[in-house]
Amino acid sequence: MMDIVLISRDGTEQSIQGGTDLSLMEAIRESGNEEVLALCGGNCSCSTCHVYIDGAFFDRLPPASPDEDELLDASAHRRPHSRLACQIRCDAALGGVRVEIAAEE
Amino acid sequence: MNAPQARDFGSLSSKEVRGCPIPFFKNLLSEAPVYRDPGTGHYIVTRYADVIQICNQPRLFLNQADIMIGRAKSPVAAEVQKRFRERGFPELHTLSTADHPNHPRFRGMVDKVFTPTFVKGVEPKIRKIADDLIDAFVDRGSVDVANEFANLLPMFVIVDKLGLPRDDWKKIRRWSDVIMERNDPVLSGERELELTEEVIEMQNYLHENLERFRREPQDCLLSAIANVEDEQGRLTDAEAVSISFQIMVGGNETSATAILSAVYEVLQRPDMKAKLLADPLLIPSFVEEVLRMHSPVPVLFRLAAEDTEVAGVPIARGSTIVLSWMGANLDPGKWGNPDEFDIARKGLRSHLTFGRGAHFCLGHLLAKAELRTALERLLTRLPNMRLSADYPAPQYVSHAFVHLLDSLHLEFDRPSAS
Repeated sequence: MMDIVLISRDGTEQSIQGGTDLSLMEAIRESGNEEVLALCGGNCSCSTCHVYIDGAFFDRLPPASPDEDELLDASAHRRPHSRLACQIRCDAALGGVRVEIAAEE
Repeated sequence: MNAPQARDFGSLSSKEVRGCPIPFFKNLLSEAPVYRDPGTGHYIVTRYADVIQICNQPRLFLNQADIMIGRAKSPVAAEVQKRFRERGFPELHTLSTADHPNHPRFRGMVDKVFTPTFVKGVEPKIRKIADDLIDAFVDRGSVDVANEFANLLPMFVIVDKLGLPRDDWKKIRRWSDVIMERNDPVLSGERELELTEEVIEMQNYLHENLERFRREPQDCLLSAIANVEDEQGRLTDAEAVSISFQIMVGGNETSATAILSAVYEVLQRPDMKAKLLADPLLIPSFVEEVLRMHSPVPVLFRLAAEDTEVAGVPIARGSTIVLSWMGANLDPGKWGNPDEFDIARKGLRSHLTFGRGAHFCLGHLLAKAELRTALERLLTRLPNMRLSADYPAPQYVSHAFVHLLDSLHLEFDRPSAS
């Protein structure tokens, strides 16, 4: 299981967990959070699971695909540590990661 | 046991409601959010939260709803299936009407086609098609937007991608209209048989092309569908035809419909037109709000796999549920001032026009690119674009399945001689 500190749009922090069979998006949705819309169901086809990954962990992630990059580029809220949560697999090695939900488009 | 029907608010099978379903859905939103339609026996669900809840339970609310494909309860079901078997291909559930485990298999094959990168790469072509179409009428000062632009732009984009000749567009459009008409739960048996003949013709057309690409693969989508293999092997003919027709129809009909609604909306709002011309970066938001208010496909269907309930209303196993994307897009429980056209509204993109979850529209990024480009090129190249006084005002057609304007005739200032 991966331990995640999830930061909602209003700044509230919540500890959640994600099984290694899940994407980060699925872990967030399963925790009951509804800010991450995941319109396309995790197909790297919208940008409603846009999150910011804290710096200490960002570089350990596999790089974004061109498709993910395209979608993040279309966001008005892209930051250096932006990722789409549906493209990140939960991994125990990333335990303790702080994940902030990006503003709604 | 079904809950007793409280009041009769009309039926989605009536010509009147079909001509303008918006007041009907708005009434249901406030009076009967899960409404058993007296004309069809279907349960119409209009509230945003309830529609989402259903979309998020695909094992309980199946996509194999027997309206679009299968139609087992039709009075001519046996004859239709016989004709498909003998002269066409059995109709299968592959994409929009498929469930687990078939759906992920087929959807996975096509998901990697309509990606953000593909759409970005095809945008220059979309723009060129739009400009070429406009070139053909720009000197006339008038245009039949449906037949000279909207029906052709998404059509040419999708046929090029599929690997079909643009010259075939008329029959592809006819077959698309046939498919849309057939998505009617209360179609007469006689009409269903007529439409079946057209569908068989479409199936054979696609099959001939798929065979051509099996013999000589090319870099196009039909060739990919013809030749793709996974651990279950190649697609059968029936599977390949099924996937191909859904992309062909889904890729032209609905975008054309949305382009007409978008142009009509902008014509009714001169201040918005000026804003979009001054700042084209507002066009994406405008497009989203058009999609919210004018879902080209106002409803889709689900089948209850078990006895269940939605918002406290018992629904028996085997019941058909009508998901009203159009109703949910106007739900005051979700949207502030839902009847207001507001391109700055909060949560603009969370409308349900493209559905939600695993069946979220495969082509939504392409559709939006086509809409943005269509609007931008028309606004830019047709100065003082206005409704033509020579034709009656456009009306939405009375149709079981699509929310489509009957026509859109414009006038604009001709370019001055240089």
